[in-house]
Amino acid sequence: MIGLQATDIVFEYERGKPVLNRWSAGFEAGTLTAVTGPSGRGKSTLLYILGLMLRPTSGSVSFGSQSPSDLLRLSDAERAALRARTYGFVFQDAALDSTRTVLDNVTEAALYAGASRKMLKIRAMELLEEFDVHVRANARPGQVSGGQAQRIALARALILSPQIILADEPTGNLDPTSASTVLEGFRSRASQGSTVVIVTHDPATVAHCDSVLQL
Amino acid sequence: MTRRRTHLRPGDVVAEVYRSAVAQPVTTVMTALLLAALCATVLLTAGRTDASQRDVLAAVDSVGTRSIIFTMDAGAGVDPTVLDRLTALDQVEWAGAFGEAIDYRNSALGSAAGNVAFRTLWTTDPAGVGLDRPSAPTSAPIAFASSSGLSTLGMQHGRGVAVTGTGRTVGVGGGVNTPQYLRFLEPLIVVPAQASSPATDTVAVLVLVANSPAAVEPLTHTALTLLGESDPTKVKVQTSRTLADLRGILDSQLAGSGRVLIILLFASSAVLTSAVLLGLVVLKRKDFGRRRALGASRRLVVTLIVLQTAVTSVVGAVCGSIGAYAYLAITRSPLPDIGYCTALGTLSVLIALIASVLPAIIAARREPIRELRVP
Repeated sequence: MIGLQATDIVFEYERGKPVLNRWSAGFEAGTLTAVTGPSGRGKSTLLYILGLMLRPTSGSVSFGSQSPSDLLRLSDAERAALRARTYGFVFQDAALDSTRTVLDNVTEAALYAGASRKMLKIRAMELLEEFDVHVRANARPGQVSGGQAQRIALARALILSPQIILADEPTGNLDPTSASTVLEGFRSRASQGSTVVIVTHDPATVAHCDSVLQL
Repeated sequence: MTRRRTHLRPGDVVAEVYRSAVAQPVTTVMTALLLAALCATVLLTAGRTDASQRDVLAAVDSVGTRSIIFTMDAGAGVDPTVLDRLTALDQVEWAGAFGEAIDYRNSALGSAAGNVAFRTLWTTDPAGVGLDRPSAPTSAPIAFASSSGLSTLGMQHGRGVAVTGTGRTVGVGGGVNTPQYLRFLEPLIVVPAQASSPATDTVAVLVLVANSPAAVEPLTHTALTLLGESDPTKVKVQTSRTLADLRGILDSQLAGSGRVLIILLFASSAVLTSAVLLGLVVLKRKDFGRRRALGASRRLVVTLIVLQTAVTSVVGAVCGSIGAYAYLAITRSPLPDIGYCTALGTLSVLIALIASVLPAIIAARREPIRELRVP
Protein backbone atom coordinates (compact mmCIF):
# COMPACT_ATOMS: atom_id res chain seq x y z
CA MET A 1 0.00 0.00 0.00
CA ILE A 2 1.31 3.41 -0.98
CA GLY A 3 1.95 5.59 2.08
CA LEU A 4 3.11 8.69 0.26
CA GLN A 5 2.75 9.56 -3.43
CA ALA A 6 4.54 12.31 -5.35
CA THR A 7 3.19 13.00 -8.82
CA ASP A 8 4.69 15.09 -11.65
CA ILE A 9 6.77 17.21 -9.32
CA VAL A 10 8.47 20.16 -11.02
CA PHE A 11 10.66 22.42 -8.93
CA GLU A 12 12.76 25.36 -10.14
CA TYR A 13 15.08 27.51 -8.05
CA GLU A 14 15.71 29.49 -11.24
CA ARG A 15 13.11 29.94 -13.95
CA GLY A 16 13.67 27.46 -16.80
CA LYS A 17 16.17 25.33 -14.82
CA PRO A 18 14.12 22.68 -13.04
CA VAL A 19 15.84 20.70 -10.31
CA LEU A 20 13.01 18.20 -10.42
CA ASN A 21 11.23 17.76 -13.75
CA ARG A 22 7.89 15.88 -13.71
CA TRP A 23 9.24 13.55 -11.06
CA SER A 24 6.86 10.90 -9.72
CA ALA A 25 7.25 8.11 -7.20
CA GLY A 26 5.21 6.16 -4.68
CA PHE A 27 6.61 5.27 -1.25
CA GLU A 28 5.28 2.04 0.23
CA ALA A 29 4.02 2.03 3.76
CA GLY A 30 6.04 -0.29 6.00
CA THR A 31 9.24 0.10 4.00
CA LEU A 32 12.47 2.09 4.10
CA THR A 33 13.21 3.94 0.87
CA ALA A 34 16.58 5.51 0.19
CA VAL A 35 16.76 8.53 -2.13
CA THR A 36 20.27 8.87 -3.42
CA GLY A 37 22.24 10.51 -6.17
CA PRO A 38 24.90 13.15 -6.78
CA SER A 39 24.78 16.50 -5.01
CA GLY A 40 22.59 19.14 -6.60
CA ARG A 41 20.03 16.71 -8.04
CA GLY A 42 17.26 17.87 -5.68
CA LYS A 43 17.25 15.10 -3.07
CA SER A 44 16.77 17.43 -0.09
CA THR A 45 14.42 19.60 -2.11
CA LEU A 46 12.29 16.53 -2.80
CA LEU A 47 12.32 15.64 0.90
CA TYR A 48 11.09 19.09 1.91
CA ILE A 49 8.39 18.94 -0.78
CA LEU A 50 7.27 15.53 0.51
CA GLY A 51 7.29 17.07 4.01
CA LEU A 52 4.94 19.84 2.84
CA MET A 53 7.50 22.51 3.74
CA LEU A 54 8.20 23.56 0.17
CA ARG A 55 5.69 24.10 -2.60
CA PRO A 56 6.87 22.88 -6.03
CA THR A 57 6.30 24.79 -9.24
CA SER A 58 3.77 22.10 -10.13
CA GLY A 59 2.84 18.57 -9.13
CA SER A 60 1.12 17.04 -6.15
CA VAL A 61 1.79 15.06 -2.98
CA SER A 62 -0.82 12.77 -1.46
CA PHE A 63 -1.16 9.91 0.97
CA GLY A 64 -1.73 7.52 -1.95
CA SER A 65 -4.97 5.97 -3.17
CA GLN A 66 -6.45 5.91 0.35
CA SER A 67 -6.41 9.71 0.49
CA PRO A 68 -5.55 11.00 -2.99
CA SER A 69 -6.19 14.74 -2.59
CA ASP A 70 -3.21 17.04 -3.06
CA LEU A 71 -1.71 17.92 0.32
CA LEU A 72 0.19 20.84 -1.16
CA ARG A 73 -3.08 22.67 -1.78
CA LEU A 74 -3.86 22.77 1.93
CA SER A 75 -3.49 25.98 3.89
CA ASP A 76 -0.32 26.68 5.87
CA ALA A 77 -2.10 25.87 9.13
CA GLU A 78 -3.42 22.56 7.77
CA ARG A 79 -0.02 21.53 6.38
CA ALA A 80 1.59 22.52 9.68
CA ALA A 81 -0.93 20.39 11.58
CA LEU A 82 -0.13 17.45 9.31
CA ARG A 83 3.58 17.91 9.85
CA ALA A 84 3.07 17.95 13.59
CA ARG A 85 0.78 14.93 13.83
CA THR A 86 1.60 12.73 10.85
CA TYR A 87 5.21 13.43 9.98
CA GLY A 88 8.46 12.90 11.78
CA PHE A 89 11.61 14.69 10.59
CA VAL A 90 15.26 13.95 11.19
CA PHE A 91 17.62 16.63 9.91
CA GLN A 92 21.23 16.34 8.88
CA ASP A 93 22.65 18.08 11.94
CA ALA A 94 20.02 17.12 14.54
CA ALA A 95 18.84 20.77 14.82
CA LEU A 96 18.24 20.62 18.55
CA ASP A 97 17.39 23.73 20.54
CA SER A 98 20.55 24.33 22.54
CA THR A 99 18.72 26.49 25.09
CA ARG A 100 16.31 23.72 26.13
CA THR A 101 16.76 20.45 27.94
CA VAL A 102 16.99 17.14 26.13
CA LEU A 103 13.49 16.27 27.37
CA ASP A 104 12.06 19.57 26.12
CA ASN A 105 13.63 18.93 22.72
CA VAL A 106 12.15 15.45 22.44
CA THR A 107 8.64 16.64 23.37
CA GLU A 108 8.72 19.85 21.30
CA ALA A 109 6.42 18.59 18.55
CA ALA A 110 3.70 17.95 21.15
CA LEU A 111 3.17 21.71 21.41
CA TYR A 112 2.48 21.97 17.69
CA ALA A 113 0.28 18.88 17.64
CA GLY A 114 -1.88 20.07 20.52
CA ALA A 115 -0.75 17.15 22.70
CA SER A 116 0.22 17.35 26.34
CA ARG A 117 3.97 17.62 26.84
CA LYS A 118 3.63 16.34 30.37
CA MET A 119 1.86 13.20 29.18
CA LEU A 120 4.61 12.56 26.64
CA LYS A 121 7.50 12.75 29.07
CA ILE A 122 7.37 9.05 29.93
CA ARG A 123 7.20 8.18 26.23
CA ALA A 124 10.19 10.48 25.62
CA MET A 125 12.19 8.72 28.34
CA GLU A 126 11.35 5.33 26.77
CA LEU A 127 12.52 6.50 23.35
CA LEU A 128 15.77 7.89 24.74
CA GLU A 129 16.32 4.56 26.47
CA GLU A 130 15.54 2.68 23.25
CA PHE A 131 18.11 4.71 21.33
CA ASP A 132 20.72 4.27 23.99
CA VAL A 133 20.86 7.93 25.07
CA HIS A 134 21.88 7.82 28.70
CA VAL A 135 21.97 11.46 29.74
CA ARG A 136 20.11 13.36 32.40
CA ALA A 137 16.71 14.52 31.15
CA ASN A 138 17.56 18.09 32.08
CA ALA A 139 20.92 17.99 30.27
CA ARG A 140 21.38 20.50 27.45
CA PRO A 141 22.23 19.48 23.88
CA GLY A 142 25.62 21.13 24.29
CA GLN A 143 26.45 18.49 26.90
CA VAL A 144 25.91 15.48 24.61
CA SER A 145 27.96 14.03 21.75
CA GLY A 146 27.06 14.40 18.06
CA GLY A 147 25.89 10.79 17.91
CA GLN A 148 23.72 11.26 20.98
CA ALA A 149 22.30 14.48 19.54
CA GLN A 150 21.21 12.71 16.37
CA ARG A 151 19.59 9.94 18.42
CA ILE A 152 17.80 12.58 20.49
CA ALA A 153 16.59 14.08 17.19
CA LEU A 154 15.35 10.63 16.19
CA ALA A 155 13.44 10.33 19.48
CA ARG A 156 11.91 13.78 18.77
CA ALA A 157 10.83 12.62 15.30
CA LEU A 158 9.17 9.49 16.67
CA ILE A 159 7.54 10.90 19.82
CA LEU A 160 4.07 11.09 18.26
CA SER A 161 4.39 7.78 16.35
CA PRO A 162 4.23 9.42 12.90
CA GLN A 163 2.99 7.59 9.82
CA ILE A 164 5.54 9.31 7.59
CA ILE A 165 9.19 9.62 8.61
CA LEU A 166 11.53 11.77 6.50
CA ALA A 167 15.26 11.91 7.17
CA ASP A 168 17.92 14.08 5.50
CA GLU A 169 21.36 12.48 5.74
CA PRO A 170 20.56 11.17 9.24
CA THR A 171 23.77 9.17 9.53
CA GLY A 172 26.07 11.58 7.71
CA ASN A 173 28.03 12.65 10.78
CA LEU A 174 27.67 9.54 12.94
CA ASP A 175 29.98 6.78 14.01
CA PRO A 176 28.98 3.27 12.85
CA THR A 177 27.40 2.37 16.20
CA SER A 178 25.23 5.46 16.35
CA ALA A 179 24.36 5.09 12.67
CA SER A 180 23.28 1.52 13.29
CA THR A 181 21.08 2.57 16.24
CA VAL A 182 19.40 5.24 14.14
CA LEU A 183 18.78 2.87 11.22
CA GLU A 184 17.38 0.24 13.58
CA GLY A 185 15.02 2.88 14.89
CA PHE A 186 13.77 3.52 11.37
CA ARG A 187 13.47 -0.18 10.68
CA SER A 188 11.36 -0.85 13.77
CA ARG A 189 8.95 2.02 12.82
CA ALA A 190 8.69 0.72 9.27
CA SER A 191 7.80 -2.69 10.62
CA GLN A 192 4.96 -0.99 12.50
CA GLY A 193 3.59 0.44 9.22
CA SER A 194 5.31 3.80 8.90
CA THR A 195 6.59 5.06 5.55
CA VAL A 196 10.27 5.95 5.88
CA VAL A 197 12.13 8.03 3.27
CA ILE A 198 15.85 8.64 3.79
CA VAL A 199 17.97 10.98 1.69
CA THR A 200 21.53 9.70 1.86
CA HIS A 201 24.90 9.37 0.21
CA ASP A 202 25.99 6.66 2.62
CA PRO A 203 26.23 3.20 0.95
CA ALA A 204 25.72 1.46 4.31
CA THR A 205 22.46 3.33 4.83
CA VAL A 206 21.38 2.55 1.25
CA ALA A 207 22.14 -1.10 1.86
CA HIS A 208 19.89 -1.03 4.92
CA CYS A 209 16.87 0.17 2.93
CA ASP A 210 14.20 -1.88 1.15
CA SER A 211 14.21 0.21 -2.03
CA VAL A 212 16.37 2.85 -3.62
CA LEU A 213 15.37 5.84 -5.75
CA GLN A 214 18.16 7.35 -7.79
CA LEU A 215 17.95 11.07 -8.68
CA MET B 1 -5.57 10.81 7.66
CA THR B 2 -6.75 13.85 9.55
CA ARG B 3 -6.10 17.28 8.07
CA ARG B 4 -7.76 19.40 10.71
CA ARG B 5 -6.02 22.43 12.07
CA THR B 6 -4.38 21.87 15.41
CA HIS B 7 -6.17 23.14 18.50
CA LEU B 8 -3.29 24.30 20.63
CA ARG B 9 -3.30 23.93 24.39
CA PRO B 10 -3.25 27.50 25.79
CA GLY B 11 -1.38 26.39 28.91
CA ASP B 12 1.36 24.81 26.79
CA VAL B 13 1.58 27.92 24.60
CA VAL B 14 1.98 30.13 27.68
CA ALA B 15 4.56 27.73 29.11
CA GLU B 16 6.42 27.84 25.77
CA VAL B 17 6.37 31.64 25.83
CA TYR B 18 7.83 31.59 29.35
CA ARG B 19 10.49 29.03 28.39
CA SER B 20 11.43 31.01 25.28
CA ALA B 21 11.74 34.21 27.32
CA VAL B 22 14.00 32.48 29.84
CA ALA B 23 16.00 30.77 27.09
CA GLN B 24 16.67 34.12 25.36
CA PRO B 25 17.86 36.25 28.27
CA VAL B 26 19.55 38.94 26.19
CA THR B 27 16.45 39.66 24.10
CA THR B 28 14.17 39.39 27.12
CA VAL B 29 16.25 41.71 29.28
CA MET B 30 16.79 44.23 26.47
CA THR B 31 13.10 44.38 25.61
CA ALA B 32 12.14 44.74 29.27
CA LEU B 33 14.81 47.40 29.80
CA LEU B 34 13.62 49.32 26.75
CA LEU B 35 10.07 49.39 28.04
CA ALA B 36 11.21 50.22 31.57
CA ALA B 37 13.36 53.05 30.23
CA LEU B 38 10.50 54.32 28.06
CA CYS B 39 8.00 54.41 30.93
CA ALA B 40 10.51 55.86 33.39
CA THR B 41 11.64 58.56 30.94
CA VAL B 42 8.09 59.57 30.07
CA LEU B 43 7.08 59.69 33.73
CA LEU B 44 10.17 61.63 34.78
CA THR B 45 9.81 64.17 31.97
CA ALA B 46 6.40 64.50 30.36
CA GLY B 47 4.67 62.86 33.35
CA ARG B 48 6.23 65.27 35.79
CA THR B 49 5.46 68.16 33.42
CA ASP B 50 1.86 67.01 33.18
CA ALA B 51 1.58 66.83 36.97
CA SER B 52 3.17 70.29 37.29
CA GLN B 53 0.84 71.62 34.62
CA ARG B 54 -2.13 70.20 36.52
CA ASP B 55 -0.96 71.91 39.70
CA VAL B 56 -0.30 75.24 37.91
CA LEU B 57 -3.70 75.19 36.20
CA ALA B 58 -5.40 74.27 39.48
CA ALA B 59 -3.64 77.21 41.12
CA VAL B 60 -4.68 79.54 38.29
CA ASP B 61 -8.24 78.23 38.46
CA SER B 62 -8.36 78.72 42.20
CA VAL B 63 -7.67 82.47 41.97
CA GLY B 64 -10.76 82.96 39.97
CA THR B 65 -10.17 82.54 36.28
CA ARG B 66 -13.80 81.62 36.00
CA SER B 67 -15.43 84.36 38.09
CA ILE B 68 -17.41 87.33 36.74
CA ILE B 69 -18.24 90.23 39.06
CA PHE B 70 -21.02 92.71 38.33
CA THR B 71 -20.99 95.81 40.52
CA MET B 72 -24.19 97.84 40.53
CA ASP B 73 -24.17 101.50 41.59
CA ALA B 74 -27.17 102.89 43.42
CA GLY B 75 -30.12 103.17 41.10
CA ALA B 76 -29.05 100.35 38.75
CA GLY B 77 -32.32 98.61 39.56
CA VAL B 78 -31.18 94.97 39.62
CA ASP B 79 -33.31 92.87 41.98
CA PRO B 80 -32.65 89.39 43.44
CA THR B 81 -34.90 87.67 40.87
CA VAL B 82 -31.94 87.96 38.49
CA LEU B 83 -30.59 84.80 40.12
CA ASP B 84 -33.52 82.74 38.84
CA ARG B 85 -32.66 83.78 35.29
CA LEU B 86 -28.91 83.28 35.62
CA THR B 87 -28.87 79.93 37.44
CA ALA B 88 -30.90 78.48 34.56
CA LEU B 89 -27.88 78.93 32.25
CA ASP B 90 -25.80 75.79 31.61
CA GLN B 91 -22.53 77.73 31.76
CA VAL B 92 -23.15 78.90 35.34
CA GLU B 93 -21.50 76.82 38.04
CA TRP B 94 -22.41 79.15 40.89
CA ALA B 95 -24.27 82.44 41.27
CA GLY B 96 -24.68 84.70 44.27
CA ALA B 97 -26.00 88.20 44.81
CA PHE B 98 -25.09 90.56 47.62
CA GLY B 99 -27.10 93.53 48.84
CA GLU B 100 -25.90 97.02 49.74
CA ALA B 101 -23.37 97.12 52.55
CA ILE B 102 -24.98 98.06 55.90
CA ASP B 103 -22.76 99.12 58.78
CA TYR B 104 -23.04 97.07 61.97
CA ARG B 105 -20.98 97.08 65.13
CA ASN B 106 -20.57 94.68 68.02
CA SER B 107 -23.33 95.56 70.49
CA ALA B 108 -21.26 94.25 73.39
CA LEU B 109 -18.55 96.86 72.74
CA GLY B 110 -20.89 99.86 72.72
CA SER B 111 -20.53 102.90 70.48
CA ALA B 112 -16.74 102.73 70.65
CA ALA B 113 -16.69 99.66 68.38
CA GLY B 114 -15.82 100.10 64.72
CA ASN B 115 -18.37 99.55 61.97
CA VAL B 116 -18.25 96.51 59.70
CA ALA B 117 -20.19 96.03 56.48
CA PHE B 118 -22.91 93.36 56.53
CA ARG B 119 -24.50 92.28 53.27
CA THR B 120 -27.67 90.39 52.49
CA LEU B 121 -26.92 87.23 50.52
CA TRP B 122 -29.10 85.62 47.86
CA THR B 123 -28.01 82.28 46.45
CA THR B 124 -29.42 78.86 45.69
CA ASP B 125 -26.15 77.24 46.77
CA PRO B 126 -24.92 78.58 50.13
CA ALA B 127 -21.96 76.21 50.04
CA GLY B 128 -20.56 78.36 47.21
CA VAL B 129 -20.11 81.19 49.71
CA GLY B 130 -18.44 78.91 52.20
CA LEU B 131 -21.14 78.95 54.91
CA ASP B 132 -20.20 76.42 57.56
CA ARG B 133 -23.80 75.16 57.73
CA PRO B 134 -27.03 75.73 55.76
CA SER B 135 -29.06 78.74 56.86
CA ALA B 136 -32.66 78.14 57.87
CA PRO B 137 -34.89 80.43 55.80
CA THR B 138 -37.77 80.59 58.29
CA SER B 139 -35.76 81.30 61.41
CA ALA B 140 -34.68 84.72 62.63
CA PRO B 141 -31.93 86.36 60.57
CA ILE B 142 -28.46 85.20 61.47
CA ALA B 143 -25.16 86.49 60.16
CA PHE B 144 -22.25 84.37 58.97
CA ALA B 145 -18.82 85.92 59.30
CA SER B 146 -15.39 85.02 58.00
CA SER B 147 -12.52 84.92 60.48
CA SER B 148 -11.40 88.41 59.42
CA GLY B 149 -15.02 89.61 59.77
CA LEU B 150 -15.22 88.20 63.30
CA SER B 151 -11.86 89.74 64.15
CA THR B 152 -12.98 93.15 62.88
CA LEU B 153 -16.20 92.88 64.87
CA GLY B 154 -14.25 91.86 67.98
CA MET B 155 -16.06 88.52 68.20
CA GLN B 156 -13.07 86.17 68.46
CA HIS B 157 -15.31 83.47 69.96
CA GLY B 158 -17.49 83.47 66.86
CA ARG B 159 -20.74 84.53 68.45
CA GLY B 160 -22.46 87.73 69.45
CA VAL B 161 -24.96 90.35 68.48
CA ALA B 162 -24.36 93.16 66.03
CA VAL B 163 -26.35 96.36 65.88
CA THR B 164 -26.80 99.13 63.32
CA GLY B 165 -26.76 102.83 64.08
CA THR B 166 -30.57 102.77 63.94
CA GLY B 167 -30.80 100.02 66.53
CA ARG B 168 -31.54 97.06 64.21
CA THR B 169 -29.87 93.91 65.55
CA VAL B 170 -28.72 90.61 64.09
CA GLY B 171 -27.13 87.61 65.75
CA VAL B 172 -23.75 86.45 64.54
CA GLY B 173 -23.62 82.68 64.84
CA GLY B 174 -22.12 81.09 61.76
CA GLY B 175 -18.77 80.97 60.01
CA VAL B 176 -17.72 81.60 56.43
CA ASN B 177 -14.73 80.02 54.71
CA THR B 178 -14.42 82.72 52.08
CA PRO B 179 -13.68 81.23 48.65
CA GLN B 180 -11.03 82.86 46.50
CA TYR B 181 -13.51 84.52 44.15
CA LEU B 182 -15.20 86.38 47.06
CA ARG B 183 -12.03 87.62 48.73
CA PHE B 184 -12.65 91.10 47.32
CA LEU B 185 -15.60 91.34 49.78
CA GLU B 186 -13.47 90.72 52.88
CA PRO B 187 -14.02 91.17 55.76
CA LEU B 188 -17.06 89.19 54.67
CA ILE B 189 -20.18 89.04 56.80
CA VAL B 190 -23.36 87.89 55.12
CA VAL B 191 -26.93 87.55 56.23
CA PRO B 192 -28.72 84.94 54.09
CA ALA B 193 -31.95 86.45 52.74
CA GLN B 194 -35.14 85.34 54.47
CA ALA B 195 -38.27 84.25 52.71
CA SER B 196 -39.87 87.43 54.06
CA SER B 197 -37.22 89.73 52.61
CA PRO B 198 -38.82 92.77 51.03
CA ALA B 199 -39.26 92.51 47.24
CA THR B 200 -37.81 95.98 46.93
CA ASP B 201 -34.32 94.81 47.94
CA THR B 202 -31.70 95.57 45.30
CA VAL B 203 -28.52 93.79 44.39
CA ALA B 204 -25.24 95.66 44.73
CA VAL B 205 -22.81 92.93 43.75
CA LEU B 206 -23.48 89.89 41.61
CA VAL B 207 -20.89 87.12 41.32
CA LEU B 208 -21.04 84.38 38.71
CA VAL B 209 -18.65 81.43 38.41
CA ALA B 210 -18.53 79.96 34.91
CA ASN B 211 -18.10 76.21 34.51
CA SER B 212 -14.96 76.70 32.40
CA PRO B 213 -12.51 79.51 31.63
CA ALA B 214 -13.62 79.44 28.00
CA ALA B 215 -17.21 80.14 29.07
CA VAL B 216 -16.32 83.38 30.87
CA GLU B 217 -16.62 85.68 27.88
CA PRO B 218 -19.87 84.34 26.37
CA LEU B 219 -21.43 84.07 29.82
CA THR B 220 -20.58 87.71 30.55
CA HIS B 221 -22.42 88.82 27.42
CA THR B 222 -25.41 86.59 28.14
CA ALA B 223 -25.63 87.70 31.78
CA LEU B 224 -25.60 91.37 30.81
CA THR B 225 -28.76 90.78 28.77
CA LEU B 226 -30.47 89.07 31.70
CA LEU B 227 -29.72 91.55 34.51
CA GLY B 228 -32.95 93.47 34.03
CA GLU B 229 -31.29 96.71 35.12
CA SER B 230 -33.07 100.04 34.72
CA ASP B 231 -29.85 101.96 33.99
CA PRO B 232 -27.07 100.05 32.15
CA THR B 233 -24.55 102.83 32.79
CA LYS B 234 -24.60 101.94 36.49
CA VAL B 235 -23.42 98.37 35.97
CA LYS B 236 -19.70 97.59 35.94
CA VAL B 237 -18.25 94.21 34.95
CA GLN B 238 -15.00 92.67 36.08
CA THR B 239 -13.84 89.41 34.59
CA SER B 240 -10.65 87.45 34.85
CA ARG B 241 -10.25 87.33 31.09
CA THR B 242 -6.50 87.95 31.29
CA LEU B 243 -6.12 85.05 33.66
CA ALA B 244 -8.33 82.91 31.44
CA ASP B 245 -6.15 83.76 28.45
CA LEU B 246 -3.04 82.96 30.45
CA ARG B 247 -4.57 79.66 31.45
CA GLY B 248 -5.28 78.84 27.83
CA ILE B 249 -1.69 79.62 26.86
CA LEU B 250 -0.30 77.50 29.71
CA ASP B 251 -2.63 74.64 28.83
CA SER B 252 -1.73 74.57 25.13
CA GLN B 253 2.00 75.26 25.51
CA LEU B 254 2.68 72.82 28.33
CA ALA B 255 0.50 70.07 26.91
CA GLY B 256 1.94 70.61 23.44
CA SER B 257 5.55 70.28 24.54
CA GLY B 258 4.71 67.13 26.51
CA ARG B 259 2.98 65.54 23.55
CA VAL B 260 5.93 66.05 21.21
CA LEU B 261 8.31 64.53 23.74
CA ILE B 262 6.05 61.52 24.29
CA ILE B 263 5.62 60.92 20.56
CA LEU B 264 9.41 61.04 20.07
CA LEU B 265 10.00 58.64 22.96
CA PHE B 266 7.36 56.19 21.75
CA ALA B 267 8.69 56.28 18.19
CA SER B 268 12.27 55.66 19.38
CA SER B 269 11.10 52.86 21.61
CA ALA B 270 9.15 51.22 18.78
CA VAL B 271 12.15 51.34 16.47
CA LEU B 272 14.51 49.96 19.13
CA THR B 273 12.11 47.18 20.16
CA SER B 274 11.67 46.20 16.53
CA ALA B 275 15.46 46.23 16.04
CA VAL B 276 16.02 44.00 19.09
CA LEU B 277 13.41 41.52 17.89
CA LEU B 278 14.75 41.58 14.34
CA GLY B 279 18.15 40.75 15.82
CA LEU B 280 16.54 37.84 17.64
CA VAL B 281 14.90 36.59 14.43
CA VAL B 282 18.20 36.74 12.54
CA LEU B 283 20.17 35.05 15.31
CA LYS B 284 17.54 32.38 15.90
CA ARG B 285 16.58 31.76 12.27
CA LYS B 286 17.49 28.09 12.53
CA ASP B 287 15.27 27.84 15.60
CA PHE B 288 12.30 29.23 13.69
CA GLY B 289 13.06 26.99 10.70
CA ARG B 290 13.05 23.96 13.01
CA ARG B 291 9.79 25.00 14.61
CA ARG B 292 8.16 25.35 11.20
CA ALA B 293 9.47 21.94 10.10
CA LEU B 294 8.19 20.25 13.25
CA GLY B 295 4.69 21.57 12.72
CA ALA B 296 4.45 25.16 13.97
CA SER B 297 2.10 27.14 11.77
CA ARG B 298 3.03 30.67 10.75
CA ARG B 299 0.29 31.95 13.04
CA LEU B 300 1.76 30.07 16.00
CA VAL B 301 5.23 31.48 15.37
CA VAL B 302 3.78 35.01 15.23
CA THR B 303 1.74 34.32 18.37
CA LEU B 304 4.76 33.05 20.29
CA ILE B 305 6.89 36.10 19.45
CA VAL B 306 4.12 38.64 20.08
CA LEU B 307 3.12 36.98 23.38
CA GLN B 308 6.73 36.81 24.50
CA THR B 309 7.06 40.53 23.71
CA ALA B 310 3.83 41.23 25.58
CA VAL B 311 4.93 39.44 28.75
CA THR B 312 8.39 41.03 28.66
CA SER B 313 6.94 44.46 27.93
CA VAL B 314 4.44 44.30 30.78
CA VAL B 315 7.21 43.38 33.23
CA GLY B 316 9.42 46.20 31.90
CA ALA B 317 6.61 48.79 31.89
CA VAL B 318 5.54 47.92 35.45
CA CYS B 319 9.12 48.01 36.78
CA GLY B 320 9.94 51.28 34.98
CA SER B 321 6.73 52.97 36.11
CA ILE B 322 7.10 51.88 39.73
CA GLY B 323 10.74 52.95 39.80
CA ALA B 324 10.03 56.39 38.31
CA TYR B 325 6.98 56.91 40.52
CA ALA B 326 9.01 56.02 43.61
CA TYR B 327 11.75 58.46 42.56
CA LEU B 328 9.21 61.27 42.06
CA ALA B 329 7.63 60.52 45.43
CA ILE B 330 11.01 60.45 47.22
CA THR B 331 12.10 63.73 45.63
CA ARG B 332 8.68 65.29 46.45
CA SER B 333 8.10 66.11 42.78
CA PRO B 334 4.59 66.48 41.35
CA LEU B 335 3.14 62.98 40.88
CA PRO B 336 1.29 62.00 37.71
CA ASP B 337 -2.07 60.44 38.54
CA ILE B 338 -2.68 56.69 38.36
CA GLY B 339 -4.74 57.09 35.19
CA TYR B 340 -1.75 58.70 33.46
CA CYS B 341 0.55 55.86 34.58
CA THR B 342 -1.93 53.20 33.49
CA ALA B 343 -2.46 54.82 30.10
CA LEU B 344 1.31 55.17 29.65
CA GLY B 345 1.94 51.51 30.54
CA THR B 346 -0.84 50.28 28.28
CA LEU B 347 0.30 52.42 25.37
CA SER B 348 3.93 51.35 25.85
CA VAL B 349 3.00 47.67 25.74
CA LEU B 350 0.80 48.26 22.68
CA ILE B 351 3.66 50.05 20.93
CA ALA B 352 6.00 47.13 21.74
CA LEU B 353 3.42 44.66 20.42
CA ILE B 354 3.02 46.60 17.19
CA ALA B 355 6.81 46.79 16.87
CA SER B 356 7.04 43.02 17.31
CA VAL B 357 4.62 42.16 14.51
CA LEU B 358 7.04 42.73 11.61
CA PRO B 359 9.88 40.64 13.14
CA ALA B 360 7.32 37.97 14.02
CA ILE B 361 6.06 37.81 10.43
CA ILE B 362 9.62 37.60 9.13
CA ALA B 363 10.29 34.74 11.57
CA ALA B 364 7.12 32.96 10.51
CA ARG B 365 8.12 33.12 6.86
CA ARG B 366 11.44 31.38 7.42
CA GLU B 367 11.71 28.45 5.01
CA PRO B 368 12.92 25.32 6.83
CA ILE B 369 14.90 24.17 3.81
CA ARG B 370 17.00 27.36 3.88
CA GLU B 371 17.60 27.21 7.61
CA LEU B 372 18.09 23.49 8.25
CA ARG B 373 20.06 22.26 5.25
CA VAL B 374 23.76 21.87 5.79
CA PRO B 375 25.68 22.87 2.64
